[in-house]
Amino acid sequence: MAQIGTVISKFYNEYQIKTSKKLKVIDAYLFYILLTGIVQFVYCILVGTFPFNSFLSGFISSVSCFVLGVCLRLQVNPENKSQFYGISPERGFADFIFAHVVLHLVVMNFIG
Amino acid sequence: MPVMKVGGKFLYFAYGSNLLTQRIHINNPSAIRAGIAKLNDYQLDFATYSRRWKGASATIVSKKGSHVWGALWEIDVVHMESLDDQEGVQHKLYLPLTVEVETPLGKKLKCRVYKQTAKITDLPKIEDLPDDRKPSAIYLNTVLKGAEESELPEEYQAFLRRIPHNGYDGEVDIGIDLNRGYALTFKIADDSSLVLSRYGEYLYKNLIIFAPSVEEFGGSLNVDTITQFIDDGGNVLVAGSSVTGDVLRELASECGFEVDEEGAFVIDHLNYDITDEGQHTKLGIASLLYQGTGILADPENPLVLPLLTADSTAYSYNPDQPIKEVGFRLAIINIIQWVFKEHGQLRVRSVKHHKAGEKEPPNAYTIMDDVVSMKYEIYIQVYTIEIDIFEDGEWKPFNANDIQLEFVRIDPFVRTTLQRKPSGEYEAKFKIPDVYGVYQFKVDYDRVGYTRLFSTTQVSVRPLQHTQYERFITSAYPYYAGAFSMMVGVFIFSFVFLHLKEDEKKSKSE
Repeated sequence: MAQIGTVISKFYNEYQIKTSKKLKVIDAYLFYILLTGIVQFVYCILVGTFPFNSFLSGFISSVSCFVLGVCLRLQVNPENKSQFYGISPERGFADFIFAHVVLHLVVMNFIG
Repeated sequence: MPVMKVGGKFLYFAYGSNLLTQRIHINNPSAIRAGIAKLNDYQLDFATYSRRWKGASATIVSKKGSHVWGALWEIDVVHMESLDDQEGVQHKLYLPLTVEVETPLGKKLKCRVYKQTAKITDLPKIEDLPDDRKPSAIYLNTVLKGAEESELPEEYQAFLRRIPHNGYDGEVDIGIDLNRGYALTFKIADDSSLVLSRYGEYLYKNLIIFAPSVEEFGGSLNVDTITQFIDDGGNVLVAGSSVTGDVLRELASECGFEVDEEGAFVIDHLNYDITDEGQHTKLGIASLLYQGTGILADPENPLVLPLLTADSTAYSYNPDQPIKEVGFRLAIINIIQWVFKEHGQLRVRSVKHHKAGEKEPPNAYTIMDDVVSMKYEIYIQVYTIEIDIFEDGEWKPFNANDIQLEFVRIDPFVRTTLQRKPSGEYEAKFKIPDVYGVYQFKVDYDRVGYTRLFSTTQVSVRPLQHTQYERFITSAYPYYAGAFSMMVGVFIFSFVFLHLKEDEKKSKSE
């Protein structure tokens, strides 16, 4: 138990020091998305699947935002620069916005 | 009375429609055939228009050296009046005469005969009758059939056949339909010209085989062709006896039952008739007297319907007796009506289906469509029969409360009983199931004594269209909120993210 505590505290400290502010913002955004998704899922379990298309679009909207956020985080993270050679963080952000436009059009279409 | 009387009876010489037994029996059921005779020095002619027959009717006109053949009927004197009525004596249409006729054996007899009162001035050759003196086709047909039935001399029948008619072959108001509307063709069972179909078309609609002992049919008629005829919708009425021949046995086994061995009778030592002569073969079954062979029907076969079954104490064996026929007309007529689909024939007149509250059927139904009403008009052909008089058949609404409707997509999704409306239609209302696909409205009504009623109507059921789904459902608000918070979230995030970047650039340059 103590070991897990040390692992967590070490992880937290490292995160506080090493992670750039930008990535922290993304992480906060992802955490928010995660919460929204969980709330919707729990609600669906409690209330039932009745407007199933609404649930799907709401929940999938969260999941997709999360996935897109993670992708943005990967592209923006300077440590992954070797893997995304030639793709600037600005280009990554533009892709992120474009994907969001498509995603939300689909979600609104399907939500009913 | 100059008319020859035979114990309260008189002789009537018929030369027109009354040649036919069926015709004379309408008004004179007591008439009994007494052979044929020739009326000398008269000629057959057609003059006065008969409204009953829609054409000129026959009369006799004096002419030396000519003659008219006709049938002799023995009628009770008490029925003379009804015969006079039929001939329109009180309306001065026909005049009763007493004439002397000559039988084929040369015997002279006094008879009553009817002659039209109208004066006939010219007597054209029978082929050259003017149009207004031509008989109707149906009248002429009756005369010809009667001549054939009476067995008038062949050359006289040939003369009758030369008579022109006015072409009218429709309804006539005499209360009967000649031959019940059928055109009968008689052939001997081993006639070598027997043929049921020619160039793939059947020549007959119904086949009656009253030749129990025939061993082999002539012409192209055999078990195969008869079976094919039945399969193609033909009706067959076969009479068997205790000496039923091989070909009919084979036909019977094709139809799912077996005729008992040759010479065998149904015997019942407990339920025989009092007039029985000791063999116990004359049985009282269901108010009929039966004497004859037995038929073995497989009780498992649902397509065989036994009408007359003996008691359980009956058995079939050969008592070494000559055959006697015991027939009952009423039962036979009912069976014939039934076999020839005059009776118990069902048809669907119209099928309507539409959404509740609408009148016309839609191109396609949508799943969960509230209520669909399905209207069937089922008609049954009804015939009433009273021994000798039968009314024309017509289609009348059928009345039953056990007709079921199925809504089928491979399996039935809905099965409901059709409700009869006062207007005679059957109606069912139900909700389309929540499964889309191609469905059929199906009515399959199969009851003993009726023809099978089978009707299917295909409709397609499609899912809801994109815009037909319900919107703004209260219980979906969290999902709406979730989706919108994602949008707002990405907007705020982008804002913060972009700003943060500038801050970092600043700090870097610093």
